Amino acid sequence: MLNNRNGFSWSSRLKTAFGFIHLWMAVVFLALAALFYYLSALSGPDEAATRETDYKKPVRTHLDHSAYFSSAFKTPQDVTRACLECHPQSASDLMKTAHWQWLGEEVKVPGHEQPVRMGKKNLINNFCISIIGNWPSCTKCHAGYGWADDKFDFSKAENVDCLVCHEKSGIYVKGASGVPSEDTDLLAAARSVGYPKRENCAVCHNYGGGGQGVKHGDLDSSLDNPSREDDVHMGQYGFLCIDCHKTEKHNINGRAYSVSIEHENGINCSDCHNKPAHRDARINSHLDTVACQTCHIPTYARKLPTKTFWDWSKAGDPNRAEDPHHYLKIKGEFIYDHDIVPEYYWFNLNMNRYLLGDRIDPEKVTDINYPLGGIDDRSAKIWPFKVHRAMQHYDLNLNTILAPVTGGDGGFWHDFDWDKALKLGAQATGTEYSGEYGFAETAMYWPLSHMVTPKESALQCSACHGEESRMDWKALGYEGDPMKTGGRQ
Amino acid sequence: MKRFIVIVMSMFALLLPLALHAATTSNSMHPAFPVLDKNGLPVSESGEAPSSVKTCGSCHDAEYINRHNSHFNGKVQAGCIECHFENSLIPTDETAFDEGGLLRRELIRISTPRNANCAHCHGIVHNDLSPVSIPEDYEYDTSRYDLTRNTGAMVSPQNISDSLLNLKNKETLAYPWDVHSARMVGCTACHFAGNNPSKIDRKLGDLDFLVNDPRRISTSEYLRRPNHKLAAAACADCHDPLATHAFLPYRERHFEVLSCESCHISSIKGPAIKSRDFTSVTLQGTPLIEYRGIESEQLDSLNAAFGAGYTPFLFAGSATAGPGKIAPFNLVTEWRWVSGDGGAAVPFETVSKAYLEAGQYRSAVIKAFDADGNSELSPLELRLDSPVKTSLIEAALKDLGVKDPRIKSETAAHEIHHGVMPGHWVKKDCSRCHARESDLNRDVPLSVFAPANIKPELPNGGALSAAGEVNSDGGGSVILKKNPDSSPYYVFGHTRASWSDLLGMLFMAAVVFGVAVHGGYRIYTRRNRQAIHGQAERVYLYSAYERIWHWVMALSVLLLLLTGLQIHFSGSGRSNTLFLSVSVHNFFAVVLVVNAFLSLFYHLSSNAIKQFIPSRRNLKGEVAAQTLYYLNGIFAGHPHPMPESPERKLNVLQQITYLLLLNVLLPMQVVTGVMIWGVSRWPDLAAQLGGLFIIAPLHNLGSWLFLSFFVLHFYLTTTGRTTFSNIRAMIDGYKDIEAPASSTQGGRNG
Repeated sequence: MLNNRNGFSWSSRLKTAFGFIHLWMAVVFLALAALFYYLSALSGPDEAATRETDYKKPVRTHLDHSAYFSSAFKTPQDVTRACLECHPQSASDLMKTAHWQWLGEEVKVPGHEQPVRMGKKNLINNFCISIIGNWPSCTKCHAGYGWADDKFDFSKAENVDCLVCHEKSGIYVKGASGVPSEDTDLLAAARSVGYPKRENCAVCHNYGGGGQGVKHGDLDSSLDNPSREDDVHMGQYGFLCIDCHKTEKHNINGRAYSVSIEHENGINCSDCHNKPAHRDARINSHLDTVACQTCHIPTYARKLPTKTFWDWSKAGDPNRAEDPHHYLKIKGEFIYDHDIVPEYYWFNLNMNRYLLGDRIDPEKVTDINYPLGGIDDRSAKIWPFKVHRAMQHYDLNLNTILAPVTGGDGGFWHDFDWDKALKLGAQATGTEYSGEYGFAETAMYWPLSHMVTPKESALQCSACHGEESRMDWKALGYEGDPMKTGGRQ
Repeated sequence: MKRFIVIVMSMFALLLPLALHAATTSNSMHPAFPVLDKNGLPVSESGEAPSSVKTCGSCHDAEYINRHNSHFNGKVQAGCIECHFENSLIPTDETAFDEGGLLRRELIRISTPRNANCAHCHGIVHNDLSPVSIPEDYEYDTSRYDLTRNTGAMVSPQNISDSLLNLKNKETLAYPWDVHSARMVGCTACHFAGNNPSKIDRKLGDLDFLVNDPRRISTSEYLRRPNHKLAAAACADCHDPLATHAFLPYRERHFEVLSCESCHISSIKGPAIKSRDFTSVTLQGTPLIEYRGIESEQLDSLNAAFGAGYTPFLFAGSATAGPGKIAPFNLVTEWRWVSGDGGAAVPFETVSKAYLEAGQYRSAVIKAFDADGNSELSPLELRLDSPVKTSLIEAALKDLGVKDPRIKSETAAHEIHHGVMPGHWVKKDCSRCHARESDLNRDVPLSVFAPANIKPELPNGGALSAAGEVNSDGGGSVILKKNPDSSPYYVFGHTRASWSDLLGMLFMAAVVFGVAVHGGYRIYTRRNRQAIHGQAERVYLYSAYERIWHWVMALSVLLLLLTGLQIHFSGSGRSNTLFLSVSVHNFFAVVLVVNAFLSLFYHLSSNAIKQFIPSRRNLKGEVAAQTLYYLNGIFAGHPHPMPESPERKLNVLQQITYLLLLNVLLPMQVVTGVMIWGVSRWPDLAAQLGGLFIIAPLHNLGSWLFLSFFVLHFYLTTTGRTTFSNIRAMIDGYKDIEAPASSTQGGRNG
């Protein structure tokens, strides 16, 4: 075909028929490529908005520790010492945190002059009220051994309880003052250690307030093996607590507003969901005003009931039938409920807090903690809360909330004498008691972040903007339904 | 009648659970008023039922309202109270009134009708928080729930997956029963008073200088005389379909042909009635009812019955969107006893008397109907499936005074407007319509059974007239067989004009046959021609441009044929190729047209056009010679009568063929193709040319002819010196041409 052409040159090649064909094939190919690119750009019925998250499924390292321990442990502190041989920093790291100290950093509480360090160690609530004087029974859930009184030495590393969070044998149970019973197989527990699973956290956090699901409302044992509908993170995606409550050097993220009043070290949905792109732009316009949890946690305590009311004034009646969900002689009368619609309040991630010694008005409901924020506060959003109400002791003359000794020596759970219990409690806490007590109503506000439902079960427009609205617009500061009367612009 | 309704409504309202929240706050603007009965006396004195006309009529012109009221006619006479009062109830006991005899302020709960007010009669409308379920009186109370009964649509903001109904794959149905309800668009947002000044954008007449007439009646005039002939807003009153639907090809055309509901109500999950047999009576005093989409025979409760819902049936002839538009319907077929003169329906109470006496079946009925001898009549046994049963009931009716009783049946079409799905849940499936088995031509099952084999009649006029024929399908069922010719629209991938396919395939078959025979015989005789070829000269015959435009043409035609075939047979095989086929087809159509025009320009300006024009000198002779060559000479190895040269590249037959091809067939194909593409742009032009029913089959026929040419052309390129020498020439431009005929006489060395 190429007659009489010696050598080779591109231009001559191009000029020949052969070259032209190649050129033309290239042109056709490019045209086809352009065609398909154009088509792929066109044929996009919009796919579901992709979840934009920073979440990368963590690789959970797991080193089998069973080879490291061969002889039985005599005391739990021996276990801790063994752990510290390879993990020398762990105890000291933990001892800086609230899981050990049961205190936070210094904070300024609204209405109080001096900043204080507060935490479970020294705060009251409207459940079992106060740990002071009751340490052995309350410190069952302390991440340490032997906190039986106010002389506990917080500087001894060997009293750190490594096992409660890290052991996975399932046989390890803490008893009074956080010490496991004598015949606990500590060796098996030590061998089983690894990263904490949901059961490790659940063993204390599900049973706060003295029973299954009493306190939080959004934390109970239905989350041990949850379905997708119970909690979409844990049920569908197998999240462990530590996936959101990220931990570095034993500093566990997350803020419990029962014992904290600000959001230092706290967790946000936006830590992973960095740009919630709801398909409907009208939903996106809610993001500045409504917290994610409000729509995505439509109810709490869906499977197991939670306590919503605790009347201490009824305690002590020996003739009443006992039932953990209705009445106990040591505790009084309760109301449990399940599948509860939350109450909604403005919340800017800071709270008010009642401290022992503060004055109350016994005619009104005293808020032990209360979410701060309001319709005019741009940093506040509408959050869902479990509200626990109670009738608890107050000093008739001084108008202060009183913290009785319940489980401790001489406490009400042994002697059934409130006056004595309150005297002992006043001594232990260093507060005054005039000798006369009454019962006043209190409330505690627990913001909800667990039991997130799958997105198709999220609240629809009609849940808040319909005729049977779960929002009290006037109480929130609106004129009426903001869909009709306008938002807070 | 009105009083009866008022009493029934009030009683029913009183039975409503007390837990119903007081959703309306009392209307502080409405003046206090006394509640009067129909004689004008206060009800607290007379104890009679409240009268809307007398109570409300002193301020609102009640007579005007009733004259202009869609809810005040022969069938129903609703008063103010049913629609405007909370719970459709006005308090009438003594404590409701203050000292002056006026209704207490806090009890004046008047408002624009809420969904619950409409739900009182229409339904199923479910607005409260309890999971949606089918009410127990759904089958019995014929004065309510007509919306759901006729169409299956249920109006509720809840997700279908949260309801109590037993639906197939319920957990996947995570979308609301009705998206408008979920978005807080109430009934009155679309069904508002005809003269509501806040809802009207009026353009009067054809005043092109006016977009909107701002003149309105005042609020007080409106409150005095609200026109209760309620509007029914169209989708386009709020939605602009052109702002979305970017994925939809030819969307203007789709919107011309289809009502919005056709795609946006593509699945109904509520209990729609399929047929009602009033010729039979159950023990509960109801007719025999069949529902669409319910799969279990014996129904304890409609909530428990397992159902999958149904896909509405598409018919052309929307009453609301326009007579030409296709819309979704449910067909409800009813059998009734009618009385001979005039065909008036026999009241159902009378029919019940023919079956039941004191709440039990008459013994004669049990004797005739009880097939399994258990003294109970199941729904299957209640069917009038034998002359014995039919004549028994006929006789009983005659005894009750009915003249000449006989059975008549009618099918009614109910257009569906409610139960709209959210847009992103609508399946974007072209092959629902653009396929051989298209939803547009789906046969409609009317009933599992026809009493006394009476076939239902279709109404005159409306969507069902001329839509098809009612047939029994052997097993006793009755179905509406759609007539494919009844559709006013040509649907690509579905509509077939068989004449074009037939003609085209015939032509194609002839060509293929001819090619097979000719080629076969050439192969058979190839030994006769070996080594006949004489000396040949290598000539540069086809310039680069000629080759380029040839191959572009070839590629385009090939791809157009392939994609065209995919479009013609879309829906079969892989799905979702229609969009791709159409896009590729349009792209290469443009390529082909541009290529053709450039080529025409080239040929005209370079005078190469003369290659295509046969010389008039000795035309007949040349045609004869070339034809004879193909019929005989080619087998014998004769040389070409008109060998190629750069001056004359095409033989006369080629010239004639290409003239016809490029000047008749190609333009026709291009013009019909452009018309198909632009049928909504130039509707008048398309109609003049006969509409798509002519244009599309012509395009189809042309494509068969092109395909035949393709085969013939490909074959004829093998008639060169060697089998592939012609193709090679079209690639590199060079051809070995033999010396002219004169020097080849003598055969072997020629």
